[in-house]
Amino acid sequence: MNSEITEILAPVNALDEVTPLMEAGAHWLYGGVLPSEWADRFPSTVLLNQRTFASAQFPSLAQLGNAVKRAREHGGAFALTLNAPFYMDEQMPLVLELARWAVDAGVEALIVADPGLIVSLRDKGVELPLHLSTMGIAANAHSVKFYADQGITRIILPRFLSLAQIAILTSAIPSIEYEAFILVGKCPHIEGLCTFVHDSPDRRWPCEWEWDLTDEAGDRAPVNISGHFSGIRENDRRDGCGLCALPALKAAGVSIFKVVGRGAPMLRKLQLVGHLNKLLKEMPAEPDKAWIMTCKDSYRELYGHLCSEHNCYYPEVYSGDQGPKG
Amino acid sequence: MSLKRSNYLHLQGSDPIPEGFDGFRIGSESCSQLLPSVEKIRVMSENRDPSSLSLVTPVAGPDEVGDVLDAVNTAVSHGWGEVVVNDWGVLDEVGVLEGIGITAGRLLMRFRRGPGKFDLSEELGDELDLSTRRYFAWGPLYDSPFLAFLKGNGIDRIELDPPRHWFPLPDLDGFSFSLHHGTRLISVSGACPWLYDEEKGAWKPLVNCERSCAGTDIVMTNPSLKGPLMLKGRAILERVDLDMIELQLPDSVDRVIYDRIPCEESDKISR
Repeated sequence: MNSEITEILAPVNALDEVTPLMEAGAHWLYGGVLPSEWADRFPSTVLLNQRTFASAQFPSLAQLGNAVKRAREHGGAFALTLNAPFYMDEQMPLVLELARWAVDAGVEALIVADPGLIVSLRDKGVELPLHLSTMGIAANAHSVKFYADQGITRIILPRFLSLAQIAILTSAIPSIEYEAFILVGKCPHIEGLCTFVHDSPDRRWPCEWEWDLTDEAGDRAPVNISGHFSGIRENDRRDGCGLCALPALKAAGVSIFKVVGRGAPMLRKLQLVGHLNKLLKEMPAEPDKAWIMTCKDSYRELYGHLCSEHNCYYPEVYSGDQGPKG
Repeated sequence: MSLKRSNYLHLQGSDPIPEGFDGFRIGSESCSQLLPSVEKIRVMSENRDPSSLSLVTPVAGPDEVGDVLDAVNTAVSHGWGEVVVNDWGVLDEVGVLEGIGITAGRLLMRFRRGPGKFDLSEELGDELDLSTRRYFAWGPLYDSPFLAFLKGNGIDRIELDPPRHWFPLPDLDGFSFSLHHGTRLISVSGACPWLYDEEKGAWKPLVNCERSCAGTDIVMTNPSLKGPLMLKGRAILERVDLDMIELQLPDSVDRVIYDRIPCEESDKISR
């Protein structure tokens, strides 16, 4: 669906965040909830959606319902996260019940990943647009077509795709909506293939731990390997950014730009959405040095330090000749 | 009558092909750069019984999927016995092929293997309730609509990744199973660690890959974990030593996958 539309999708986990986020420029909001029937039965690492800590979820269905209503009153839209990689048969009735609740509450779309859920929603007549989570991994035109055949209307592009790869993919199947990550949460792994369990109270996941690295003989690992891992650890994944690439993504047909951060403080979310909204309004059709410098200034303002390739969603722009690094 | 489980060895790089295995796997579940060339597939077909050969295919980017499908078509035309699929787009093309077994690779299955800091620690294993044990052992195998979906897309075999806390396999009709004997898959890196340029603080493009990962596994240790993880190419794995007799596997698990040659012939499992 290559169009002139550009919309911001922002994370939300409380009712009082809705109005400020929409006033800051978000059109889409996304969030999740753990109904008590689920939370009482399963530990937080058994996923209903891709967040394992309570502060990332709406505290109740009632508050989520009010948030959806408020978003609609502002002319916005809400996408509910049901994006666990799979649901067991004993869980599926609860998930379908939540999906039916979402229809009644006015939710505009479900973010999904489990093909079993996608089929079940269709079979049970739950008619909501379905957005494919990165957990579903549509990394090539064949997989986009595959999911589109199942009823997916929007693809959230996997983080590991380069700008060139995104352009190939979107041009092959332009009839679908594409959403790309822009701010926060630069996961170093392919999210849909990663099974590290996010259960550390300090929210430092295993992917960013300090590792002792050796070869099998016990000798130090090659310098590039240790550099890769120490770079991940030293450059906070929360500081992820793809601002410089906005013009290229838009030209490729990406129309929705995603800010990560369910569970983050509201002021932080507002700051991120505000910057992104301002830059979307200012962005040129073709990126030039002035644009790159504007984005790098924005990065420094948002994160308090220079940007790094470790935190860069689309390093082709970062490392190109369109401006100095950092 | 006792079941003879077939033993498949995943060949690494240009290793010489040893005797004593029922089948061989080539390719990679996690990296398109390790896909065998069409020429290599042809050569292997001439030197081995092609029905004993499996092509393992990775998750593929938009510029890589064509090569994957070329490799698959070559393997099919040369009578290979199995294609292991880890990408939905590849499955969309391959699932309709006849005359070759289509297997859901462990990346397509997405078993939850961890580790995390607490919930999956060895100490907690016995304390997890039944539902949670099922979830972390074989969760996707309890997702009936998903299994029906796989079946409808041509899958007749499923790869099993050994769980952290063993739990009996559910009874499932209509599928055969291959069990990875030596490793469980933990994660796959977005950017290739082997292509990291320490001096520039950046990753080289994938086209610069010289397969420098071949033959070298990196051991990753952290005090929070009981045992090490292992970086193999772009994949992070955990070594697993299974006591196959103790597992009491059902007959539907009729194939065992070795990621490296067992030290002793007796390490291989026939029952």
